[in-house]
Amino acid sequence: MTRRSKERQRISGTAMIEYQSFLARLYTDDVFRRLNRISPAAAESFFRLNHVETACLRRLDLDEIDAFAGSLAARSREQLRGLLPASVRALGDAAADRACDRFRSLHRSAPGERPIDLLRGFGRFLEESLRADDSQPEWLPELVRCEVALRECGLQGARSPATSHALAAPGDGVFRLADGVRVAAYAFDVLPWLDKPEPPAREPARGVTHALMIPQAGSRHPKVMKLNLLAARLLGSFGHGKSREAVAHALEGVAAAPDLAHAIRSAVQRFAMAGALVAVQ
Amino acid sequence: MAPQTPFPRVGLSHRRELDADIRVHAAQIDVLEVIAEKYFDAGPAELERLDALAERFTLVPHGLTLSVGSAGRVCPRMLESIRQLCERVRAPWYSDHLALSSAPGIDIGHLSPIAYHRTSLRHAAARIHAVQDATGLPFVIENITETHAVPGGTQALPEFLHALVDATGCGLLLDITNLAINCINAGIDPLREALAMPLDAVVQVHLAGGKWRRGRLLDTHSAPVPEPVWQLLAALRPRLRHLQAVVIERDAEYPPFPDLLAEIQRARLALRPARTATPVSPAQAGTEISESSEMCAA
Repeated sequence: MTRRSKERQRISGTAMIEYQSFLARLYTDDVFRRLNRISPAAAESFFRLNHVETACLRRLDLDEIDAFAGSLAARSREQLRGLLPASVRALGDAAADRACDRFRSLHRSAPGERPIDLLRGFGRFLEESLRADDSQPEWLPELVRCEVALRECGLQGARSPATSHALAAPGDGVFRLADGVRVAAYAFDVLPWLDKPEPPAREPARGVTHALMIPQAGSRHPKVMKLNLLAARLLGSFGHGKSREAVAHALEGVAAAPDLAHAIRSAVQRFAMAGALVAVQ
Repeated sequence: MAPQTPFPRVGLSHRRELDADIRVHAAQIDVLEVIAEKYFDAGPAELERLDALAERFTLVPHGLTLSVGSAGRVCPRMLESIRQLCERVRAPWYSDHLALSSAPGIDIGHLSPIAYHRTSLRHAAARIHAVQDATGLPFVIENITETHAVPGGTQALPEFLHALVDATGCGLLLDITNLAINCINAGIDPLREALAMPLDAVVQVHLAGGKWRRGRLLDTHSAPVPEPVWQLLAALRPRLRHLQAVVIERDAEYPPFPDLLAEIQRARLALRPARTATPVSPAQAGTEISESSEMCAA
């Protein structure tokens, strides 16, 4: 092959990437598709296309492309709704579809995107949108935030091998939160709304609710526990690794238990058995 | 190319919803097709489950995102993921679709058709070579449902596939349902189209059921394999000399598991008399298939 023919081939390949990028944009971007209908030249101006490729693009059946794009949008909606089913149920079908479509129009999925990244991105978008929307109940963004944590925890569990953690010994030692465990506070008691086939009859009660989520090895369904304030502070204190004594010291000003060290010892044992805490080796 | 076998293996596409039943009825399933991308970034638990499947079944990894129709190089991380997966499950081959599923920075989210011409052939061949080099295994390419036409093609699909097989030595995963759907939507005789394919390169066959929506038949994998597809399989069988596996795909509206086992058994029966069957001419079978309305599952 001569240098000139190699060059021709290279240019042809490069141009085809632009042509395919145009098609991909056309399939996945509703606004771009409308622009292409109104002014093909304006849509084409974003890409380096040769006259043959431009001619091919002008011959596309745009009704067929709309139908294909519609099927992609439906798949995307289904995928996004499946990420946060409890939130979607609470939001209602029409509003959920609008939210999915708006997210999709802003968020261009990149090849190889991990499910957890899509979950976090969509969750953040939905939570922020609902928080700013006066017409939506205040508890709804809290439910979204809680469900994102639940699903993240589930993804972590599904990836974990079915090995048991070493139980906490009653003696001295340093403990930390087990991988993937989440301790968080919510402004409403949204826990009853998670993983129920139908939304509960009553709206979530206002009031700070502390939740503990523990990944279950090999399962997408984490263990969820409601905590009291002291238990939440206790678990929060361990972080990346602390001894019981250090935690007891940190909690002295908060808890007025007569035998704080003993109470902490049994709580640590309980949480370790539940898989929330692990002894640091 | 894998050696010729008297009776191809018959099985299912593995789905989480079917997993428990598949394990219970393992003796009746010869082969499982697993979605490759599901395991590219898998954690230890998912890999443990995959290993357990590989102990009991022949596993065929099937990709969705190689985007064989894309211009440009395959991402090295993807090649490495494919290699690791194939090695892990001792895959006999690796398959993906003749489609465009991504462009730089954009995941289309599904398989989209390409135009068939010399440039797209060169790109597809380069990407197939990349996987063959990475895995050291045969690569098998699947025909997709053509949801819309992409102008600029100079070749028909069968001609393009012949050229691709010649250029790369790849095998063909003939999705009979996709082929039938394309033909029915385009008003073409499916058997005539099938007979023009490089049937000697067919290593694997997909069977599934589709549904009608807005005047078009779609490959939804949500219905039983329809009669016209069974008839096509029977008609083609004598020419599928290198067929190794037949996989029934079901992704939605799952039926009772015995129904899927019955489809597996039916496929086995359809494959057995191959050596004594008389090849059917397009004219004989085409009329029968094109007049059938059993494809209309909904």
